[in-house]
Amino acid sequence: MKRNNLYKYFFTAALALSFASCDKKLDINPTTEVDASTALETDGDFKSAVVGAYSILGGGALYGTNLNIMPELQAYEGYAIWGGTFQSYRQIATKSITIANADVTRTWVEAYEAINIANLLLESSSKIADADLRTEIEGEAAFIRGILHFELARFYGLPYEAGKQNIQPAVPIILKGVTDSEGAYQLSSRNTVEEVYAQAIKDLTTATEKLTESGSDNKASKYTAMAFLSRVYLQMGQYEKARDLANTVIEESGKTLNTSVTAAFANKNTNETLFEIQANDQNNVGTSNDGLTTFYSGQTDGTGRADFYINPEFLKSFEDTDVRKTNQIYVGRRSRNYSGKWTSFGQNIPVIRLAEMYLVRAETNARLKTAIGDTPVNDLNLIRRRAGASVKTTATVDQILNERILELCFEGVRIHDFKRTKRTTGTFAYNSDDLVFPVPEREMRANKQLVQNPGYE
Amino acid sequence: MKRTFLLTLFSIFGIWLASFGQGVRISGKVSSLEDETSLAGVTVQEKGTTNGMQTDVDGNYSIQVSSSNSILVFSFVGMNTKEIAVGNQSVINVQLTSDSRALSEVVVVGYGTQIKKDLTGAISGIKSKDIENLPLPTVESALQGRVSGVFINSGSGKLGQGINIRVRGISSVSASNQPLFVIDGQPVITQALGSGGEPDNPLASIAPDDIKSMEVLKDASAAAIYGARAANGVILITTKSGSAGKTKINFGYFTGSSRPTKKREWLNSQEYIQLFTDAANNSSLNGSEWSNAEEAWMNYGGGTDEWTKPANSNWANEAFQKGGISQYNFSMDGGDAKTKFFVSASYNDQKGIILANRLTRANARINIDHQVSKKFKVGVNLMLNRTNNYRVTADNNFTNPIQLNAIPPIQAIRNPDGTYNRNTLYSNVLNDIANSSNKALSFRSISNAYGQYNFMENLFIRSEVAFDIVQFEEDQYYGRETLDGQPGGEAYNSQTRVLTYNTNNVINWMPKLNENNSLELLAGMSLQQSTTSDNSVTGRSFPNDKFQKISSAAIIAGGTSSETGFSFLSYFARANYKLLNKYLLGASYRIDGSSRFGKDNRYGAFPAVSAGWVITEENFLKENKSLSFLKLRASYGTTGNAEIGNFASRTLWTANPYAASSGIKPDQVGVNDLKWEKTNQFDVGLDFGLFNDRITGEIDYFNKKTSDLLLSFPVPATSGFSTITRNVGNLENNGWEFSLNSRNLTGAFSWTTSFNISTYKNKITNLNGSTIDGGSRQMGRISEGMPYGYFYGPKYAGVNPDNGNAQYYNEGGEIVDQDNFDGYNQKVGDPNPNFYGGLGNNYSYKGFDLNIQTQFVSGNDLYNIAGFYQSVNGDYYDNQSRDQLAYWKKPGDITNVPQPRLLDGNGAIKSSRWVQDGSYFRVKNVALSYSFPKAMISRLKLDNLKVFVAAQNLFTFTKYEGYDPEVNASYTGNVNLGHDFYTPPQAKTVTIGVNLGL
Repeated sequence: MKRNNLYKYFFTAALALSFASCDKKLDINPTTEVDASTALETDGDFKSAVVGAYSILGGGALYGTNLNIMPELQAYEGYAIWGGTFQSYRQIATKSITIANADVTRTWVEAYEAINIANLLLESSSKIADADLRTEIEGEAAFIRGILHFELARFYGLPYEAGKQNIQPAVPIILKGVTDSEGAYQLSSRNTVEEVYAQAIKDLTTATEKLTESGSDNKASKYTAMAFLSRVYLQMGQYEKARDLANTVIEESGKTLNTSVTAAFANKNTNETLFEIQANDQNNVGTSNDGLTTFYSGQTDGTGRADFYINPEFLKSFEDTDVRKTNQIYVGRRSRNYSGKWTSFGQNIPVIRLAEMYLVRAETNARLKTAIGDTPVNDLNLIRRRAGASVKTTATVDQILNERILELCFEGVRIHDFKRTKRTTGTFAYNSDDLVFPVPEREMRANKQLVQNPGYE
Repeated sequence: MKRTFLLTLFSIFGIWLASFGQGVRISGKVSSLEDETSLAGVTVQEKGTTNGMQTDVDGNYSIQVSSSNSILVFSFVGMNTKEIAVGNQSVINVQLTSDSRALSEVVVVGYGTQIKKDLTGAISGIKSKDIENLPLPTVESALQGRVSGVFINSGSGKLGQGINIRVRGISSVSASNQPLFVIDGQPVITQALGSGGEPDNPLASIAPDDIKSMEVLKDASAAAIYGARAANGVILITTKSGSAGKTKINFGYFTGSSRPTKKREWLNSQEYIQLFTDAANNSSLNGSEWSNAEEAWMNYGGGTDEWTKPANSNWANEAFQKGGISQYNFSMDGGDAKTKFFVSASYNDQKGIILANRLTRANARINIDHQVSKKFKVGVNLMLNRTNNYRVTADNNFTNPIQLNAIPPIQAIRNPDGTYNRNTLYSNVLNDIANSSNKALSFRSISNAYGQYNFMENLFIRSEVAFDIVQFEEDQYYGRETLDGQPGGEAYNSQTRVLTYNTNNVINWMPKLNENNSLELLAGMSLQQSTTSDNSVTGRSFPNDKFQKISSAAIIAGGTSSETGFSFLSYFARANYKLLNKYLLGASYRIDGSSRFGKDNRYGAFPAVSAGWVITEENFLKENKSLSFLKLRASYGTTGNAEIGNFASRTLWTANPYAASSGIKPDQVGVNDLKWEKTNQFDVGLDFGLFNDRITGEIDYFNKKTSDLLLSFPVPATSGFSTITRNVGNLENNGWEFSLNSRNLTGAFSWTTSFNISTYKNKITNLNGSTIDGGSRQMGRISEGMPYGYFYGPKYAGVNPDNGNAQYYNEGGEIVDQDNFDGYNQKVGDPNPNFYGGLGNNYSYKGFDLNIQTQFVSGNDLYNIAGFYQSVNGDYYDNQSRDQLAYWKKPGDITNVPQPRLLDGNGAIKSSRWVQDGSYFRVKNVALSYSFPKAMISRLKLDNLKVFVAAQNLFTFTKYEGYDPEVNASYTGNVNLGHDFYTPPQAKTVTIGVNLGL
């Protein structure tokens, strides 16, 4: 009987306790994420958020794959062949893009993801205690926001045409960060190409003022912003501004051309690159379904998918002594030619090199019949000599444009050059609707204010 | 207390008085008629008195009765009660027959049991004897075809894969659609843990032989006691426990082999060359890219000799191996009045029909119940399991062996030197399999302990504590010559641990009212907490393939560790009231709080009410000879679906590294009022028994309305986010269920039949105007006004007899050549069945027992995604199914296969061309056994000896031309039902075995 009483008390107590257990048990927090309200508090948090934005820049939707490969695919005629199974890239190459195209979609989506971080950083930068850091982070944020608006405008809007009113729609300009669901529901309309370019120039100008001379941890420096700004002006046909910025970069950045053409790709952060996506074996865009090496490489050891290879016609553009052909193009699987710029999964991805700045300076000087910094022929030969190509005695705009093709092939400038110089690719005119991406279907559905591009309605 | 005391006093006094009267002492032994074993714990009572006792461990009793006119009543749960007049006998030996009338069955319900007769909810289930000796792949597959209202699709023939179980339709779009599994009172984790892109099946760790019963709680009245997790139904699994009496020892063994339910026919070399010669010649590229078929072949990069000296390989066959299954199991149960135990151990080894697929399962269990004192009892159920799964990759992975059928037959499987040919159109998976391993090892313990204290005879408190521990490890190595492992080899290792703790505390009171009224009250609480932690590491570049562990890797290519968890805090109560044995009322109420719900919606309430009317208890039916039982019941209540993700309501930032720098970025935007999905269900049912319950059955109609569907609400990506998880949608399911059990013949030759058929109609009623598409290659779509996952795409209209062009239906319904097709999409199929069910027959005669269980599904469509590779009249170099030979050859040909035109895409777009009726009828299980007569085996000191043959998926009848109509390519996600993409077929298994009891 005594024992039974004990049990009785025990059970009654247990029951009473269990009913009294409080709802603290329901407070479980994620361990691999933090609450948004506490994300940006310390200076360190802000630095991490900048890195987070760079990580998106380096992802497959942006510079990690698409901002490189899409401009190359769009002008692949007589240049390269897409033999891969990815329908989205095939559609981009053959100009038969559907509104649901996965890559057209992800580039839009992730560009705005990075722009949102830039906006959040700019909106709360007053919380940064260290004044120098604050200036730098504001510069980084402006840089990211500027280059991405520029990249988006080039893909999703008809080309910028110098001397005209560029009222054709580009993409929405987003300058406000989103922190909650209310903000996420906000609809916005497409701004004109003119407006988006103006915003890009404004942001990049801010970046040139706020970023430091050398940048930190291989992120953007003052000169990175200038180089991008030079690209923007070149795309707009504002050659003087493009020239002067390129010249400033060449003369003041302290960057130098590598002695070898291949060094910028075989090594990390060489002195020639102005902006380079960082990668390593752990953190890179991908080894099987994404990444430049994945698509461009067809090495005989099995590296890469051998999806995007070089048209034999294009090989003929190089002189036989040109190292850019002999050392930077190789024969890989199925006896095809592949670009030797992208050969290892963990390699860095140069986005702007000093060589481009020389070619910009050469082209703009040639167009403007000036010799700011140096003569066009000298700048041209600087590039050619390094490659082991024959030295020219003259430098016409066409020659320099051709040199850009040889020097910058498979680096993501091809269609943009075609568009600004009004060249056709295959049978597609520079301003063909087929060379403009559609507004992604998912975006059209989520935002009724958007208007679709011609040819995709 | 006082009353009990008085009663006891009276009865003692009564017995004492009786012993002084003209008392007669009767003794004897009670045994079971079927197997002649003695029965302990049988109540022996003198009719009309309180004089009674129970039989001892050996079934013996001895009782003093008042006179020779007395009648003794022998009763025992699960046996027919027997009455015997004492007369002038002094020894009465009794044999009881088991009560096969379904209505007196004890049914397990949430936190308790009920007599089937008294149920007001819709519950169906199976018992251990239904699945005895069957070579079941996993335990829940036993429900298929046997239980109404439960639609099961095994998905594929891969071992240990997740199975789709849908109770009464489909209640969710983005939360889980799987029912809640409760094992011995504890909700268990059924989330998939593997990395393979396809879910594994955590229930594969449970030994079917340990199961005593499985009950499916289908309507709100039965399920709402499980509140926020019951909207998809609840499956209660009860494991075996010991019974008092002689210790019974049982050994079982079976072994057998398996092969695919079907193999498909593909082109041989000659046919391939014929088709592709025409395809190359008819192609628009002929003359520019090539001038003949051999050149076209060389163009892709094929070998020279392949065209002129074709190898004639049967690639498709290489994907399969002869499968098999063996199982050893041992169990022992027994005990006395105080302690009862059940101990079992088993080992099951399945070799899949797909290359390299194997699953082994080792289990041990101890279930003990102990009566500490008259009022206090305790018990423990302890299960240990090890499962070893050598997995097949996801269907869409190039290393899925079934994809071998895409390789042209003219390419050789092996090189002349015996090594695998690696220069094939697609990766030669045989090489990948030979040089890689993919093993998933899991240890699991689902164990609990309870204590129960009876304050009074009719009032007890029960407390249960349970642990569900899963330790899951994946170990993969891909050799340097494999697609995934080149050039230096790659290894992946991951460890996942899921630790779940659960406690239930209930108080149960059955106040003694009077003969005409009975009431049962239950109240309780439960708390469950679960933590999942995992880590993984990937290594690349090994010295050679002899080194396969990551410590030998030159590059550590990746590593992760993470942790997540959830908790539920719940309070519940239930009341069941019965008036005059004919009016039944039930009500339950549960409050569920969960860490998963947004902070503005932490707790949800889930009420249910039900009523029943036993019409046969009314006077106007009481005397009816043929209608022995008729009950009308109805219920209405609310259940929820809480599988909404652990932190979906939160606004969070996540880590995002950039090379060697660590970064952070916004991850998701949440809403604070995020909550469970809510299902209101109405059910009305009729239970009936005819001819003294020889025929029993149930008819049910249900209507489930689900609101607050959790949807990924698309927001403009310009916000930096793509979707927000919100409760915005609605959908509905309604349907009928009918089941019938009949004892056609009783006696020496007995024959029973069971039949069930069910329907469900699903309709999405509100998706906030959006649609959810299954992907560019898939057909599935979720859209307002339509059934879940209906097929949406271009409608194929066959071949233009004049020119061999593929044709499609345009917007106006007119048939146009593909060049004029405007791309119009429409409904081209529905993967939901019109009806499904099963028919079972059991025959037994003198120790022979034959059980045939069939299963059928009707009216569902299937879409073969792989059609546009494998049945596309030679549009690419893939080998084609043989039916493509019927291609259009000359004007006037009437055929469904367009003219072959290599790389021109004639009829190659996604379309209804590859949608087919997926109805099937399957002889699911056949088991024939023979039990040797007692007399013969008692000399061997055996209690029983049984030999048997059994088969699974013996015959399948279908019009579907793919491998197997029971298919669901799970990698395609939950929007796409009934999709087939190189999905491995089911296995047809035949086994022989023996059971031996001591």
